[in-house]
Amino acid sequence: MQDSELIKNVLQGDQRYYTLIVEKYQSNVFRVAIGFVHNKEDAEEITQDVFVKAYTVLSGFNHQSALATWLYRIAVNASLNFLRSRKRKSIWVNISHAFYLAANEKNAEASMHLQEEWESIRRAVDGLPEKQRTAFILSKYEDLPQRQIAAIMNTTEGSVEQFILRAKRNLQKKLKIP
Amino acid sequence: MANPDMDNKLDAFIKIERAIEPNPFISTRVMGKITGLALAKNKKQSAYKIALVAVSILIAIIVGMAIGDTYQMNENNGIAVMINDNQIENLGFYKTISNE
Repeated sequence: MQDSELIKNVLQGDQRYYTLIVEKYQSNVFRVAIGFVHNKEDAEEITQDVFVKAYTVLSGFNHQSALATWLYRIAVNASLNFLRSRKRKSIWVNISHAFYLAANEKNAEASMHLQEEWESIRRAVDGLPEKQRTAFILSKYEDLPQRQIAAIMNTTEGSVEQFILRAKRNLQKKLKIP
Repeated sequence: MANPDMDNKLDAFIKIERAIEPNPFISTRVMGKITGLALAKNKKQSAYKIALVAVSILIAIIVGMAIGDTYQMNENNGIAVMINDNQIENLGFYKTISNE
């Protein structure tokens, strides 16, 4: 069923169709959120908030963009608002990284070194200016084309290309080993 | 990139985060929240209705009391009618058989 039909049924009062929308796009929204917050629980909370928010304003969706684009836009704004309002956790914990370390590193010293490198990568990504970071995350975490990123960020494709280029250059500078 | 090794690590970092799966029950939680919002909205509307009915009753009572207060007793002194019970028809008159 197409998104427009799903939305039509939801607006007619059948909430079951909204479950289909959530199941269809939850992974996409989650990946965007995790690109910003790097934490599974926080990303899940943001994902839930995005879909609850989308439901409350669904009647205002004017089909000028695709539903996915609209949801991505809400996800980016929700993630940025989350970061602004919440204190960043002092200790960055990510279970998947711990498993990766345990599976792939043979000794504790190498694991610690890798953990530090990843912490520096995380800090470098989080330290990007907001627009560069948004474009970078949408490009790298969701493999979105520049045209769609431009629609999400309400800007031009040329600007998106510049944001991504500058983000890569900034990351190169920050992650350079002296 | 200046440091290809770091570039690979950046890609590995992103690859790992991309591979993290969300909770499969997100849709259930979302629908639960939406239902909760709808219930809260209905509850609020019911409370407004109850308050409206209560206020309407109160207004009706106040208006009734105000209308009642406008009634004035007739203060004109009419002619006092003295009724002498003895002048009322004496039913005992009809008790004697001869007067039936």
